[in-house]
Amino acid sequence: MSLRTLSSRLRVAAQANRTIKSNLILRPGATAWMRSYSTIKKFSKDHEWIQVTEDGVTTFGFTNYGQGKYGDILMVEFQSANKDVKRGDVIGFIGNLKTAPDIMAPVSGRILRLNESLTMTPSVLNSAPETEGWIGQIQMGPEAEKELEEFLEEHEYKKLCDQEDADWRMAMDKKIDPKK
Amino acid sequence: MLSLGPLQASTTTTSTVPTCPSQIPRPRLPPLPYIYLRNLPYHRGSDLQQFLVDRQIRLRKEREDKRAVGADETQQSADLSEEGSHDLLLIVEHTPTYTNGRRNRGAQAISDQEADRLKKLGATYVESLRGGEITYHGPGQLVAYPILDLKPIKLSVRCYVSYLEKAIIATCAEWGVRAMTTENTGVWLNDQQKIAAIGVHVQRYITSHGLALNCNTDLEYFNQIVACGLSGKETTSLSKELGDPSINVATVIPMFVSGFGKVFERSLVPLEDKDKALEQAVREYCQTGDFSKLKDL
Repeated sequence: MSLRTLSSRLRVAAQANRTIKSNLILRPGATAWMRSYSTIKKFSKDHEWIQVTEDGVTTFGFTNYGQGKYGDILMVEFQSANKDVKRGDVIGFIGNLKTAPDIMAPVSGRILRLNESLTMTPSVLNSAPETEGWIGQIQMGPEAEKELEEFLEEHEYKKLCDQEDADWRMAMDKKIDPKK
Repeated sequence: MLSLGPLQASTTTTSTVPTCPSQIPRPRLPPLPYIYLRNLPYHRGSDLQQFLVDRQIRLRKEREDKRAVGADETQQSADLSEEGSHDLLLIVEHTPTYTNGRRNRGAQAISDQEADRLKKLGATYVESLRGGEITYHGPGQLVAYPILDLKPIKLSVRCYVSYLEKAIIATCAEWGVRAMTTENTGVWLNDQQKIAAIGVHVQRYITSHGLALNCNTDLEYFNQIVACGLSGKETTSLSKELGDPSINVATVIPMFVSGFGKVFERSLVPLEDKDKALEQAVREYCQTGDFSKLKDL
């Protein structure tokens, strides 16, 4: 599905979850900062993308660069437990030929939904990580404003990826020619 | 922020990666049934596996729901040791088929001319959701599809794949062929010669797809492609390595079954001895493409 369709569906979903939102204690002016983030995609140093709507619902996943580092993703499982998460809480894991890294919540808040279809077609995390391969949606809590400040704009993120590529190439060159 | 912490580990060393258990942890599981299916079209094999995976997920959920309603601890372990396991091992010989992975669909798919060329060789060409590059399946190749629940044996994908590699290596050893793993997936005789391919799926902890060991495969089919995207390498077979044309899938199966059983610590039994109705329903589906008998079980 296109990101525009996804965003509009998220808006509908966020409205449906108004009762959840009203239970959160929002600082005055909180909705203002949420509005300033709405529909802009942001990125983290750990190769996650987030997309935030006016109602403070964040959809997130791995970036294309991130999935490339994992190689073929063969398994996805979600923990069924806590709906209220802090940034960094484990919400599931993926499995590939080398390891089984945790999937962690990128922001604090309440999990609205997780993309359960990934457990049946994990390869979508590789083939469409920034669209169909979205991982979950979180209704952001009050701590999220500060957390969002650490996310990068697209051009900053691209710079980071280019730098990682350059670092990797240099490391490879050193391996091949230790004199470098 | 450490969301993808282990990604960073992969760019440094792998010294923190845990080793796989040398023994399958408790609980011990009942005998694993297996069935040998010949001349199976690839798509029929895929559909059969998906059916069996969906069935296993459904049966496991029913078992878990029953437990939630009030069965006690002893009942739970009894479930696993008696009727609880729906694991199954399919051993298959496919009709000649080239399969290509999802990275090569759409824009990067092989050209229509290329697909036609492969079809003219008498093979089917299939694109699938899996990763990886183009490969070949056909008569003379022992393809094994273990449909196993990894949850009760607490096996990670990585360790499951290493167990499959061990099972293949053990099978080759029975024939006096020394095989090994390298930085590329699959099982190799050396850096250049690949004897078995591995590609697994896991859905809700249930495995499907698996491995393909060349017994006396017509290797000319591999000469037509850059198998698994690795140029400069070649594919070989047990029969070629031993110069023995009498080796075929049927003669290798007993050793494969025994090697698999040793690695996974289960005895293997023919499916017809454990569940005749299921065996007949699977065979009927393979012959006709008709799921109705299977759906009743």
